[in-house]
Amino acid sequence: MKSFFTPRVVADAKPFWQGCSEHKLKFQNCSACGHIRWPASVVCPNCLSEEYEWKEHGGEGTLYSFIVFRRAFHPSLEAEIPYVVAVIDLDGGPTILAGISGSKSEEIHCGARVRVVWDDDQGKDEQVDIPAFEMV
Amino acid sequence: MKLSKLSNRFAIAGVGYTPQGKVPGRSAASFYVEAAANAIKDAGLKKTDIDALILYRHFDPVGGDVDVSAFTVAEQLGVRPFTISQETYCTRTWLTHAIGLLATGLCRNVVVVYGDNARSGRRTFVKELSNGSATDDLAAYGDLSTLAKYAMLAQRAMYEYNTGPEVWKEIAIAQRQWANLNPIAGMYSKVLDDEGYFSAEYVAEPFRLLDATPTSDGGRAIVLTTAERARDLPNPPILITGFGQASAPESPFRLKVNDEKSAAAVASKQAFEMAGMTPKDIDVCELYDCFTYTVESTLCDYGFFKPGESRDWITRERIGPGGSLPVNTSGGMLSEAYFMGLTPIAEGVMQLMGRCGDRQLGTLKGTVMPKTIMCSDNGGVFQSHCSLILQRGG
Repeated sequence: MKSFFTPRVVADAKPFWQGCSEHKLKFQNCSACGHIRWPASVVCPNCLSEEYEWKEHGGEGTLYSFIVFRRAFHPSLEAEIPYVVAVIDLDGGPTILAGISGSKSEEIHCGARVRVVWDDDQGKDEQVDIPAFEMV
Repeated sequence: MKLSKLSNRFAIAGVGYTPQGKVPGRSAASFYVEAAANAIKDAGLKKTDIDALILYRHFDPVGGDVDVSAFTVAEQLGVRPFTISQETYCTRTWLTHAIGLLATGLCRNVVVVYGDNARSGRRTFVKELSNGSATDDLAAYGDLSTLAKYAMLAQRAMYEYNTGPEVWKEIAIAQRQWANLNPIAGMYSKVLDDEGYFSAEYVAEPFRLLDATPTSDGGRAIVLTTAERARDLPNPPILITGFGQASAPESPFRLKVNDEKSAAAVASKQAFEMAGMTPKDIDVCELYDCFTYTVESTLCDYGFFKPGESRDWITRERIGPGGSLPVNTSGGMLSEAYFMGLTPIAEGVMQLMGRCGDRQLGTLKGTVMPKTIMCSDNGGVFQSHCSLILQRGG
């Protein structure tokens, strides 16, 4: 889905956001221990190795938690209310923030199996793509 | 080092208050300065006795105010301490900083202070945006406000531990009952019942407006010194019988509710070990309560009940006035005022000193004078934590 705001992207995370624009979920995989990390970093938080490779994740995971915004914390969000922000535990790691597509807020529940979906809507083309998930 | 060697060696000797709640027309710095000055006077010290000045975390100015630094506050107090500092983020280093300065003998009297004009200046705690533009990547998802991060973990706790609004309303109502006994509490004259809690609007579901602490104008300060020196000062010394400090610095969206090494669990374990105590030895809790759920999770991490037991354990009858384990007897940040960890800690000190008026434990009907009070301070989103076990010294 399209982002609510254009993110300020830290240099280390550029390949993640580039991946999103190509509709791919990409993370750093540690070459030494295999740990998949997020947030992006120059070293592995598991083993401190500096060797890594950006690899695409399969995009399946489990919904850890979610909240339903009922108040707009910025005037530009008033039309979006209510909207959902979720935390997804991706299979094999890592844990990421995400939007939820295709479900009403009352249908969403912790523990649900989810998979990533990308939105081809170009209506808000100033914004970037963010990963959204649908319940399987 | 054996932690018990540090038990009862340090003390809180004074507390500083200011006008609080809605106090328009004042700078944030003025609240820092007034609170610090009042704490120094309350401790029976001269300003020249202060050799360390520690400010709570820095916030950007609001409402046309100017920036506050430790230089500003020291200048206006007319002091030139050995060391002055201010946290950039909520890492909660003030406690170990102060203890280290006192333990080494580098300093004799440490002032810890916080102040803000948050209410009049309409501080929002939405740091993901600045002038409508994102400051990080969280805003892309619409994940705005500190409240939302706590609500995310609270939602998971509902799923995993069968907690929820029915539990949180007990915390909100019990603390409100305490505030109704405290004339300086923001909610002193406002009674809260079940209907009032449930009719409050959702902000970020599952949190309603009354699960969140309102902002306040005002300030609060404490003076820390050695136990030995505190015995020569006018107030009864409030001894730090145990303390603990820990961090869990992961991004909030990566924290889990079932974490045996949460910052609160680790910090409280240290404090209990130092004091040679368990939760059974605690008479009262004064806990950092930015949200109702924070009180629940802290009590659970501290070992007062097991995960999944909050629905039975947390009742207004237990934690409210006249209950067997009073919690947040000033009304806490939810119903008294928000001065970070100094809201709960100042109240713990004041209760042990016997200075709490109508809400004083031991005077209030159905209560006993406490011997031991557990206080907590929490920073970020469960990312840093201090625990203090306080007792009144002879």
